[in-house]
Amino acid sequence: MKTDREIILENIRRSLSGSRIEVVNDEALDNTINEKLNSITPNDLIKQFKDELEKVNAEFIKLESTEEIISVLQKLFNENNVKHIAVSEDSEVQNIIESIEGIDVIQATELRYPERKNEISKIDAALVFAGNGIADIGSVVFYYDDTKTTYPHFLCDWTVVLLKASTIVANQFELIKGIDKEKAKNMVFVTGPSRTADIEKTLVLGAHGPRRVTVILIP
Amino acid sequence: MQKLTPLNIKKNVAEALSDERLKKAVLNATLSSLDSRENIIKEIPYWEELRQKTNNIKAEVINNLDKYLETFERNCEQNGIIIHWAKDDVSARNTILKIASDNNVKKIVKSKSLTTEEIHLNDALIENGIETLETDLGEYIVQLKGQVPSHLIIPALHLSKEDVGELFTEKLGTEYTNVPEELLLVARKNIRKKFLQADMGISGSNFAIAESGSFVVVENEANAHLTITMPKIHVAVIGIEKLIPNMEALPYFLKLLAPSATGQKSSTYVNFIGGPSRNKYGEGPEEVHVVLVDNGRSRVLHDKQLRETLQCIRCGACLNSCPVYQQIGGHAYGWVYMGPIGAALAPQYLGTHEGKYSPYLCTLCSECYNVCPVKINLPEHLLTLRNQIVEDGETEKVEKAAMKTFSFVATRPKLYNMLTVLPAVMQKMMPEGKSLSVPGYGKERPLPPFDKLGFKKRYQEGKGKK
Amino acid sequence: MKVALFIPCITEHLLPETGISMVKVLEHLGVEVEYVENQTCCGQPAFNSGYHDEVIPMAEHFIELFADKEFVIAPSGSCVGMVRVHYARLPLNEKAKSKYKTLQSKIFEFTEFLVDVLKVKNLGGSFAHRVTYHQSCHLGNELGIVSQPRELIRSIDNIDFVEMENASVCCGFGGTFSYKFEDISLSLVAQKSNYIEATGAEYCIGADSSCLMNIEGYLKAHNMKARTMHIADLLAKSLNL
Repeated sequence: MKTDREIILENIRRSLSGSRIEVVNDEALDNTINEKLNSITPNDLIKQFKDELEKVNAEFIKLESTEEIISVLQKLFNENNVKHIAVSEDSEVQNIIESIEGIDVIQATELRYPERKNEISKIDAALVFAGNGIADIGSVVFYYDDTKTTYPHFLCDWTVVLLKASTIVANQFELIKGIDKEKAKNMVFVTGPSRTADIEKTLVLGAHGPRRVTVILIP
Repeated sequence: MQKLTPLNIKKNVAEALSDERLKKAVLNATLSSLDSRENIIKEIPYWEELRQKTNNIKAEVINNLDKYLETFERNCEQNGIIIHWAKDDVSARNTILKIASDNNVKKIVKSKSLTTEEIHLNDALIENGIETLETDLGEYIVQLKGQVPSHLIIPALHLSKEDVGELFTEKLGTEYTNVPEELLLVARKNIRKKFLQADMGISGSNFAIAESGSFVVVENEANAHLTITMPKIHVAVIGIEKLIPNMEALPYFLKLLAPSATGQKSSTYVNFIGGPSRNKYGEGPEEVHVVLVDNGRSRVLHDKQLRETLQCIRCGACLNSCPVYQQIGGHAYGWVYMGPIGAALAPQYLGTHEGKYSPYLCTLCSECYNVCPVKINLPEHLLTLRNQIVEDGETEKVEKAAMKTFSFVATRPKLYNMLTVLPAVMQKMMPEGKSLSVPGYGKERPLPPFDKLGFKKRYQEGKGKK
Repeated sequence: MKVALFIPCITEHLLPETGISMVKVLEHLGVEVEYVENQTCCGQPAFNSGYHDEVIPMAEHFIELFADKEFVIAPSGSCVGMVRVHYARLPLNEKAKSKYKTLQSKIFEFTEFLVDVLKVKNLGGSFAHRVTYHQSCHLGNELGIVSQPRELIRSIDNIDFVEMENASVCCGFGGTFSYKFEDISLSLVAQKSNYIEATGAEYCIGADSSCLMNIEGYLKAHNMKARTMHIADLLAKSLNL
């Protein structure tokens, strides 16, 4: 008895037999795309990133110096009356969060799995580091490896994203060119808060994921 | 669930046209999507080049599909993904049911996947006592209502906010509201619970990447992300035609997909899955399964020209641009896939008998070809399929006889000239200015009267006078 | 310069005036015209319905009649599209195939011929009315003829040219579609008629009689003000031919 795999592959080969069309790679086409893409890539990627981010209803805060991070975050959380923040194990986040006062830091890793899901879901804000930013569409990239918990990124209503300016790339083509292939297997591009227009095409923010996304750019 | 078949097209169309509210909703949604798309394209000067590039990439994959599938399988398995092959919908359903039963799965959450609709998965799961919840808002609404989606991208397009309000009140017991933000909150709350409790998440996939042994799920709501990462088991149901060669190819498609599908520059989430990501904290799926679905696709490959229809990336732009779809919406097509691409796939997947009306639900205006991001020549394929339907004897005998007669007469000019005098003669017998009644041209839109002389005689008379 | 007239069925039997107008305009421009005897139909209705085998002898007949002509001109985008684009897919006999290659490069739609070949910029006519323009599907999408008709309209003195909303959306004719799915066809022509009415135009100009006939039928039956006019008739009228 043939397996489905054998049947499918045989059907494909039989269908294509003697009629495979050879598609030659068109270098001229690739060159044109590259040229045009380069011609619209601005010099100031940070400005472009900011503009695109704001177009997708996310917020942008630019730090003038790394020292500002604590005070900026403190102000942000105070102004928004944030009492609880979820963080993953990420050591850079750990260093920063230690200095923020007046908030209850929920270490995602200290919560017992599977209750972790439920608990984090109730927390207002998460503080997370992004691996890259993509300037032409205002996206941030999160890489999942097995050291970080990822629930804070999506279960909390407000994602506060820390992003280093040097990690911003011009576009997805550039990102993929420079990417670690292993890291690229489990990652997510995030472009603003979650949204839907499924009811009468009325845009509503905050579908199943975060309602609010704030990106803090660290020089 | 209603039994869907494109054989009901004529009945469905009549129903759709009598629904004024539906017409307005569909027209509004499609035209605004097209507008947004136009605005984004203005910022992408290499749009036409992208279309050709992705057409080339997909053509290469489709013409070497066996090799790419084997590569995909090999690389996925290296990443710890379990690959299953399903030759048809029965096999696909059984495979998924087995995964569920092997793992004692009681609750499933699903993100939007038309392939799972195509294989009638939900009914099978529910019949087997497994709670199966659609989590995409549009799909959730449509599931509650016991219907099927009416658009590839906006499943509940055919319902008004009042319809949704009433639906939620009836099925969920919530207080009536017709405010979309409030309706979303109701859905979010109910569905969030399910994400946290589900044993298994089922998704589709937009692109399966052969070289990296990973696959991509694109969305806006975050429900797919939660479907994929919250439960212990993730099952992705992927049509075999969804393959692309490598990661480098992906950005070309992503640049085209969001503008074409939703008029956005980029969708909110692009999820990459390359294996069970259960980390040391127990998060993420322990098992990732991919069910590769054939269900007629390998047969489509047989025709050198028609195999291009397998290059579709399910963006929905052709639906939005189609003047026929704009008037009738998706349910009228009678199948899970609708619009121009649906009309082209129906006779190929379902056969020329069941799909005999589908390619004719089209004026051949070619707008679909203008907007297709991967440049599928749909009008040409629809013409080819009409020919196949004729060759398979699936058109009406009367029409076939008429066409044969027409061909016979039109290649015999003397006979043609004799016979074409008849309508003019009949016209003379009608009251002045009144037209002959012809199918399609009645009171609402009468034909002009047949000219008594015709062009040739008038032209020759004119010349004679000089 | 001599052009052979390719007269579509609808022009021959229903709206011959358009063909006469085209002849007048061409002769006004110093072009010699010839009516090719024994022309019948290019086969489009059968082809679009899927009867490709039945179209082959019709195509071979057409090619035989027109292949040796210097230019072949038709007042119709869909008919020219049929010959220029779709005949290429038919398994014609060898003789027809080789003759077709030359025919393909010599067959033109009327406005395309005026603007692209004769390089007409301004015919010098006058037509003091408000008009709008319907862009037929095959003309615009298959043949890429978008600007030529509009240029010709704009060049007419005293004309008030207003673009309608969605000028290129299908009018719903679609050949056999108009009776196979009559209700959808009517819904589309109603939409097109409303767009026309919204411009306040007296005339909706177009380059395909099939579309115009479809639209005018609806306009008349619903007591709407506008009427359709083929661009050949417009040009002839503007020149008082």
